[in-house]
Amino acid sequence: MKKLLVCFAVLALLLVPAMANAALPGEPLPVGAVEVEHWELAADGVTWDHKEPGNGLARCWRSGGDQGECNKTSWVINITHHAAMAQWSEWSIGGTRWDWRILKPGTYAADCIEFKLQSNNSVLIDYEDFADLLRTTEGGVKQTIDTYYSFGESIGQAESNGWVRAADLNEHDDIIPDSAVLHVNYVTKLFNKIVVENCNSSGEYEDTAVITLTLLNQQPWVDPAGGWGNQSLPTP
Amino acid sequence: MTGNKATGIVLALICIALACFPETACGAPTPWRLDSWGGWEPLEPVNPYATIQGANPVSGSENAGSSAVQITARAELAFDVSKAELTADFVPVSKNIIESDSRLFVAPLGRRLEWKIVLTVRNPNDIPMHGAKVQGSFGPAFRATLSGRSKGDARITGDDPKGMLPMDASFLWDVGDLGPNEAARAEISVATRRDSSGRQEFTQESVYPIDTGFKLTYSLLGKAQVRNTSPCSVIARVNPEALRPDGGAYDVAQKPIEQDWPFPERPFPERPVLVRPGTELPAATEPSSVQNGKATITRKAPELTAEQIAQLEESGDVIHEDPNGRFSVTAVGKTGNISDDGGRFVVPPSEYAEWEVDLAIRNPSLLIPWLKWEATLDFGPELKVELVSCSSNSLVGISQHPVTGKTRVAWNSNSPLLIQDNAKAKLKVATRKPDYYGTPGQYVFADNIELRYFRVLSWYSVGLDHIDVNVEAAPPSASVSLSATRLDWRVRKPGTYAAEATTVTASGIGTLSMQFTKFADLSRSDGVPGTIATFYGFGDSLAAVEAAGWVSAAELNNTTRDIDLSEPVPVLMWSKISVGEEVSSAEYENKGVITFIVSNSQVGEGN
Repeated sequence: MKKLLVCFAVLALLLVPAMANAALPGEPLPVGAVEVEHWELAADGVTWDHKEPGNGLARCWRSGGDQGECNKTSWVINITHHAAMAQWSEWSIGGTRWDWRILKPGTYAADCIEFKLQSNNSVLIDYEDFADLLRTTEGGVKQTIDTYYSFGESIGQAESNGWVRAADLNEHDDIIPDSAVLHVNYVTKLFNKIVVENCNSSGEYEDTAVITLTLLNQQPWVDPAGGWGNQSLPTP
Repeated sequence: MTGNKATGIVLALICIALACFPETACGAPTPWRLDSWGGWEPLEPVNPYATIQGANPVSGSENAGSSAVQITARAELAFDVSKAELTADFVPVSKNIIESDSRLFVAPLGRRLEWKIVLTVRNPNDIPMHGAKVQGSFGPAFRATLSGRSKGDARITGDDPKGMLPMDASFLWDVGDLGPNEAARAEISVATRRDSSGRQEFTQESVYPIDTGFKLTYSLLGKAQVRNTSPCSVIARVNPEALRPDGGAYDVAQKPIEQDWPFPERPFPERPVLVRPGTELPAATEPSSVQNGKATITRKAPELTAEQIAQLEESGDVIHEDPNGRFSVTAVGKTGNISDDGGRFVVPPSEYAEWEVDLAIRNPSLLIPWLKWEATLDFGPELKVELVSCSSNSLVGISQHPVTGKTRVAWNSNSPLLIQDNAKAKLKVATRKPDYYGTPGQYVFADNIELRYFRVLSWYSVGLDHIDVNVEAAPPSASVSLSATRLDWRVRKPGTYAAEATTVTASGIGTLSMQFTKFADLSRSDGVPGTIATFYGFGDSLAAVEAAGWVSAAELNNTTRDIDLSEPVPVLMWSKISVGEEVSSAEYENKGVITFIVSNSQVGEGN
């Protein structure tokens, strides 16, 4: 039995900007800013959840208190309302492992793995350690099965997008740019194609690879794990 | 100075000692200091960093393959450190709070009172301080809520969440470590506690402690340190202005929230001074002819003329006249809404006003007593009169005329006023409720002011000019304070968020209108299209804002909110942002404008 095993270990959604020049510079808080309590609207759309400073999915700072004595006709106060939005993402992957069982030589393809990605800015997809499936035991006539990958909604689209040899995929990192589709739900399928030849002896073949998703436009005050980082940014 | 820097300086001193050793025979070596740019900076003999001395010079001239010289380098570290600074500024938010000093306020009964406490911890040293904590507790008459802090964790415990039960609340602020010259700030709101009947005010005259003083504990160079602030109290009185020791009226104003941060060396700006429209603020060295709160008008009998004295001396009398004369009436305005303008009082209509009136008589004769005397005066019908005190052996009768409504004061004695003797009486005069001086115009404060005295065989009389009051509508003026003019959100996930944006506190005379312009949804600062839906609301709490309804930023423009300065209440402005999934990570901002206009019109008048 020729058992083909592919294992994708998507380690984590790494939030560390892989491209330092793409991360947002952030804007320091004004001198004298004091963090204050705030409220977050619950999922029911009615209840406000109170959040102490330092807590919640958003934080708020007040600054620039002003005072004046007003005998003149008008007194003008400039009010600045600022919001710094961090990059977030929601993602899912339909599976992290492919298993083929092949009876006869031939060329086979499958989608099997569906990616769903949602983010509010560009995301880098980095491929590492992709290679032809390698026979897990000694012997055999040909030790590897030629392996290709492509993306698309259908096999036809994958075909038209072109197949990339597994090893070449490592050099084909993708950036999914900021777009309305990405904000709502970007969906694609990873197609896999194997070419099983007569010279492939029966046995088990496998490759383990890594896909890393990186948020490219993250704020500097978000820590690498995605929580609140150091809020003190250098004053420009 | 950090620990690494300290170590660096030790090493530098050792290196310097070694490097300079050959020179020690020639005198004291020069120390250098590694500056922050990595360069070496020579230090003067007297400097704040380090000094060095060389001693025990040796020399040698020999052919030995090796020579051993014992070198001793010693460094003594004595950091010049100052204690950390802990300040607690109590900023009155409510109107009618009178600041007696920085730790004592005087406030009226029957009013909700609120203060903002700004706590500042500052490390003035070049070395870090560790484990800084600020602790304190609040008096049971107050409810404290934490508004925010710039660093660390803070909480208030032991307080009844609904603010009903009178219990002490404890405050703990775990500031953590503070680097060199770093400071941290926390803000606490303290208000009179709501009682079981729902009233949020003092009902009894007493002294109420706001806090027990704040204590800062921290570690500096491994040594525990403590700093304390003095406790603050408030004296609750029916008439708080009567407590001022110098007899004048208090200025009631709000301190502005300190704007420069984190170093609080800059004092708060001068208190606002109310002035008439069209006039400049009076220079400190040039008092205005109109002085609110210290209005004084005196009527006194003219000194005797030489001819009068000659006549009296012919009758065998000897007169010693003094500047106060035989009879004087002095009226001093006690409430801050009284001014004097050209010898007459000026007060606003429909407001309580109070004076203190001193009557004084003196017999200037060196030989002849006054066998009888009586001083009389009539106060206007809008005034009520009470006797405060009078000299012994004298009587004060106060009666209101049934027709004219005037109040006659008759002060007399059946005992003689001896030579060079005097007598005094003090009256409290105030406008009558409910109308006070109802409409603008000229009124008589006091007239028919006369002293009659009997000496030898005759009655003599001294009359004084009447005192008038001009009732004028006070010019509109306002003092405005905003707790913040900038709000910064940092948002990690889509959602709807709300916070109190700013509190507008106002006081003054007339109506203060707030007009909003240039408010809009927050838009991306980098010019790329994209906005965050933004709303504003007004209310004492988020629930009140929800009930009143949010207004989109665009709809806020060209709307007006009026504050009646006769009964001003703080206006809390709230912000709500709705961050949808379509919002890209970026910076978003809007700059709106609030224009304050003070006017005479009443709330509800006009458009």
